[in-house]
Amino acid sequence: MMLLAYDIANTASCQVGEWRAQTPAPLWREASAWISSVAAQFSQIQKLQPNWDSYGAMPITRRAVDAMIELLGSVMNPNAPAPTLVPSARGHLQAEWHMKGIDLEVEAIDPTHIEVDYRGPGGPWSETLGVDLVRLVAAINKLSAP
Amino acid sequence: MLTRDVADPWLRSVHCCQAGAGQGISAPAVRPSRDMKSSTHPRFQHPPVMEVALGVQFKPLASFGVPQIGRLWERFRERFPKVEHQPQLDHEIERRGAQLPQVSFRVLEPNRALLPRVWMINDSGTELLQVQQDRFVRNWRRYSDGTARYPEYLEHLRPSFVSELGEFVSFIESEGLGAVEFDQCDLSYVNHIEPNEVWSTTGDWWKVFPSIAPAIDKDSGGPLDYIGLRMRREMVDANGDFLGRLHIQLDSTLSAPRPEKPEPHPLFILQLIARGSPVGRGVEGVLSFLDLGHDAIVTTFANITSSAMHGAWGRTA
Repeated sequence: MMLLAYDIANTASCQVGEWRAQTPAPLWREASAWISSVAAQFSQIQKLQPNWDSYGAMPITRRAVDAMIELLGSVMNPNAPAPTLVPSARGHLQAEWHMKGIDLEVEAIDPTHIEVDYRGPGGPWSETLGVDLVRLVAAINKLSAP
Repeated sequence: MLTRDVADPWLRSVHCCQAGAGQGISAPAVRPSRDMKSSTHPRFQHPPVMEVALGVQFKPLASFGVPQIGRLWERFRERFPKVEHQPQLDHEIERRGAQLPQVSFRVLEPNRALLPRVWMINDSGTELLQVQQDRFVRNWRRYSDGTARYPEYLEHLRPSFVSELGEFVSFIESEGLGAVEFDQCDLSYVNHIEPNEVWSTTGDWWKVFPSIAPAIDKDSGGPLDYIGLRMRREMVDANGDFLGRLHIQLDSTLSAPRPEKPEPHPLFILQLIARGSPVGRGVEGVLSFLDLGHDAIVTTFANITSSAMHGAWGRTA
């Protein structure tokens, strides 16, 4: 698949800090809203130093970033709203949505260990997911509805 | 989507495409074989297999860099004396619920992109190992030797993979590079189906793939002159739990010139790739999935190809 890099800074060529975001060419314009937001948040998160919360928090690891990237790439659709990325003291990342009567919090421990807490229509439920993401995709699709 | 760990030059020129929790192991505890359904597998005397890749992915080994790759090569150099460098493959995980059209994107670190995937190749070019920070793959191929006989999964490919994966894991542990925690494995078969007494043009594909060729070929319009099909199906366990996927990809193309066939001729390339989570812990879990994948691939191959082609390939079971 051809990949097209785009730039958050000038929206044409695209690098965030030392990291570059890429997305399939046909989709990048549609997807740019949430990708741009997520990439900008990653840019800030990578600047966090150890003990960033003054309570001994661990730095956010490259592995945690990769896990969240892989997860979002698997479950997001072009119309999905951007999550708020929240660093955890354990060095992981949590993606959060609080809108449309839904509270969805997703923590990616690693690419095959994902902890989900959902409150909204059809819920609430909390579950640790591996590679079966059907419930999480359904939740994000609810958030994506116009 | 599919087989970026195979080395088929046609796939590049035509259409190069393409868990359960991590399974840690503390030692290369491998068993050479298991009582498989091999006796019930369809078998062929001259299958059109051009390449087979057995691969495993694991959590990235942050300290596995260029110097360590060099030291690893020393262990394999006698059997695999040639080396080539390739771009790293993405870490690919089969997930239920994730759809192909959905957006994918990733973040690259420039320094990380410089780390290579290394091919270690035997003298004849028929066997190779591929290693990178989060992947180990063993290939058999016969592009450079069209007469090479397919060595069979149970008799050669699987035992060789077990042995060399064990050596790789042993090296990682002895070097103190971390634990190899498997999270995904895959088995890829690339078949080159040459024209014969059964078929001669791309439009004859229904003679080769009667169960998937639509009726449109048979009696409407002009001849079909290009095929590019992508399909995938879930692999599940007895409880219906998701294990991974079987990818099926069919392309039509023209052959590359060879001394015995200097003129290009039509060619079907059929790829079957089983990818999914290890079924259990350690190397045994990887092998369990690969064996399931082999069952699915062989059965699917036999189901979607015609009995006339089976005859040409010398089906014996």
